[in-house]
Amino acid sequence: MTSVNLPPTAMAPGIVPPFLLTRIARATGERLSVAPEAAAQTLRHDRPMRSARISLSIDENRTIVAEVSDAPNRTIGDARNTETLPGRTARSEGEDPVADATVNEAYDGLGATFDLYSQVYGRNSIDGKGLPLDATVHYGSDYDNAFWNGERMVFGDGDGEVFGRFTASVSVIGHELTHGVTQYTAALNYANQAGALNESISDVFGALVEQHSAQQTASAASWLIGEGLFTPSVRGVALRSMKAPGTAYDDPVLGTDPQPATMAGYVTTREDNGGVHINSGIPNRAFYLLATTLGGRAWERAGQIWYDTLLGKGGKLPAAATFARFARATVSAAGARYGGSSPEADAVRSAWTEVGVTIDGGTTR
Amino acid sequence: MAARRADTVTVTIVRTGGVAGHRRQWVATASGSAADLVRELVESDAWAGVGADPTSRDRFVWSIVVTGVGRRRTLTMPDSHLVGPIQELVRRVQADGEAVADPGWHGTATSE
Repeated sequence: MTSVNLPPTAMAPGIVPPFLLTRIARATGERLSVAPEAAAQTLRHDRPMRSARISLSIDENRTIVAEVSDAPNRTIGDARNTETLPGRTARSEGEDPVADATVNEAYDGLGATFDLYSQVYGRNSIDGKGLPLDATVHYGSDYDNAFWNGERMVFGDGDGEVFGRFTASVSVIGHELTHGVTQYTAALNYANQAGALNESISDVFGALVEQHSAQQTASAASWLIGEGLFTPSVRGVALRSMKAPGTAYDDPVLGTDPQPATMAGYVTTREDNGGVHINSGIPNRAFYLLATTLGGRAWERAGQIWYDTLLGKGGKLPAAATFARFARATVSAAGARYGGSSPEADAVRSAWTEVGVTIDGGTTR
Repeated sequence: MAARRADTVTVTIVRTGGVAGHRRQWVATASGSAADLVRELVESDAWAGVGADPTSRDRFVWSIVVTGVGRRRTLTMPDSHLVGPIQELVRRVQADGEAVADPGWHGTATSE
């Protein structure tokens, strides 16, 4: 057992200015005000019921064939550096690109994510029923984050010192939208091992959105999450590496990438909802191992097995699923689709074994 | 028995979570009347515990630790609840306090 201890807190020279504290004191008797999102959540959504793409062609009998397929219904809001959602509508579905590159990146990233789910897995948007894809960009001031609030994706511009804008990475956009997919499917908790699985599922499909969009094979892909988000001053390539967790950055300000690649490095902490962004490295690497063992396009077999698992085709996942329980479900899902003794099911078992996860409810065979 | 009151108050802000999962920490101290105001804040309604945020994913989690106010006081809250005077305190410590570089991970790595 290794301990990672917090270094002693240095007495810092900074002084909290009295003018601020005067204001704090004035407000101390008051109740906390309602967060802006709470108000936004009460707004009604008046949307077209469903979007569709229609393509026309002529077959060999000279008959006109009309094909209707699912299509996204995107709306990008601009918070104009406030924390008020949804912000002013900057681009709606079907509209031409606008002058603001951030708006267009969000629009295109949502489209790429919709396409992976729709074209590969036959899923029509986040809920499978054509839910509109809503995002807000330019959230907050120097806001170093992107998040899913249960209804929409929200992207900050970054502080310009460590992070640039969060829409710059398609894998991050796919990651956020996938939190919505998980919410409507396995509904995994957001704490401890279930939370790390929730995070890992977002990384898996975030990476697959990028690979599908670039038509990259598993061996050609970077397996990085959030490549290009750091400013050039940061010593690092991305937020996380699924291929080699713990190696994405090593920087004087950010510290060292804390992700473990195997259960031997599992971190127990109360911070970050029980280390959900830390321990996700373990299932992330298991997926990477599966995808590269199978080879070819990762979204096809490896991604299908993970997607089936999310839908409960390997048995219903409990909201508090552990790594071992999830591993068992992936083996079952692979067995259901490809056969219990298939190369796919074998590769799933091997992947979990290599990261030190013992498959719940039996041996690895 | 109450601990003897220190002259200065130290405020430590720890931010975890976020899509990046980075742990960031800022520390500032206050003395004199400023310290008194921090002491008032930790006794106020604003310091009362707030609920969780069950629907958001990848939002920051904030932890505010104040020492020099008798017993050490800690408040943990989701980003969506960071408003009002606590938010002002956090913003000010971030702006004027010292960012603690490479703080390491506050947890335990367990090995088999």
